[in-house]
Amino acid sequence: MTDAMKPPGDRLDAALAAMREPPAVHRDTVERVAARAVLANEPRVRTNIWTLRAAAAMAVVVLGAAALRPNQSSATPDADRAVTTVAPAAELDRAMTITPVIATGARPIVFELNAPDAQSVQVLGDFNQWSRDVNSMARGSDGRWRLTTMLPPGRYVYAFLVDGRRFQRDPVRDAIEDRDFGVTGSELVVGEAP
Amino acid sequence: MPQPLRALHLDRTTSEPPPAAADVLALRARDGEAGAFTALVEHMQPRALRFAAQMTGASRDDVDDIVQDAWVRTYRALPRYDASRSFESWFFTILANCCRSLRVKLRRWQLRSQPLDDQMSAELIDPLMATSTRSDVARVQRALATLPAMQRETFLLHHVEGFSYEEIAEMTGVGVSASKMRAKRAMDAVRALLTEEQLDD
Repeated sequence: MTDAMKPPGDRLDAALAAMREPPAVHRDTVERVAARAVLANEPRVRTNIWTLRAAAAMAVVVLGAAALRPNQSSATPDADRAVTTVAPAAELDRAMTITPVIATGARPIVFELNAPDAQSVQVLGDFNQWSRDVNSMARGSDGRWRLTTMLPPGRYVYAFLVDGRRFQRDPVRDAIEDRDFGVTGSELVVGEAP
Repeated sequence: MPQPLRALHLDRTTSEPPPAAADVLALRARDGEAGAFTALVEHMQPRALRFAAQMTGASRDDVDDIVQDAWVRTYRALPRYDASRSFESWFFTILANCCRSLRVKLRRWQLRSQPLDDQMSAELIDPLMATSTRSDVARVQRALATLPAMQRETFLLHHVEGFSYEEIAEMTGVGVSASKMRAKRAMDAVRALLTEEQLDD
């Protein structure tokens, strides 16, 4: 009996068995995949769309300020001369150097969760590499757990760990789309300092 | 309290690793043991590539990107790994999310019309596979391509990856009965296509 004449059930079984055969994977590929996963989560090299947007916004502000400076000084010729003759390049360099420091300054963020029956609550997020026991919250007399911490501008994902075993997203903030590992986190966007 | 670790069996000469090997490796990786994460990737990568390829029908480059993205998310969430849950079902939850993200972005699955062999890298297809079986695999893939994504996902998770309906229910967030129904509808569609094409032959 040729394969084409076999009943569909037999052919389906053979096809599924073939589909279960895993492809060969080289060790070099495995090491590269693992290394990329680790590096992508390295805080110092991690860049996302929000940091790029923040950088672009900063550049616009700085360049805009530089572009306006001659117009403003045209009403005050002495100042114009001072700027253009003393050190315009140095001035611009200084602005470019200083502005990011101001714009990336950390801002106080208050995390709060109403969990009067909890024994402990911690905040885990990509800002603390999802580490336990780094950001423990304090229970107030009203049964609400709070923690104030400083975070630089950016987009973060976090969740609360209640009693060391149960994850809970922040009900007052947007849930993230992906349910990685069955835990739905919350999204926090920290804006620029005013 | 540290969780007890069972002995590892990563000898390449063994045909199948013990079911809990991924759980043990995940725990070790979570606890910062050097090399454990790479061993975890090595353990899961063949299945991950297979599932992503069959789920999306994407090119090898896209499949590699999907799986890489899944590992990035896995590593990020590893501190949240709960040892009471199977790592494999955990990881496949993420991987399935990554597959969905690609489909939403590119809509390639619906747009593709080439035979399977033209879509998937030859590296992901066993070169020793019989021609007739290869044709039937392509037929199954074509049938799966016509199904709603969740039916296709459930079919692959159960019939190819070997997850139980209870595990699939936990992974997808739907009930056990709904998972069984999805798999049955997918199976009916696949059988119907095979029968139809056999008659055409």
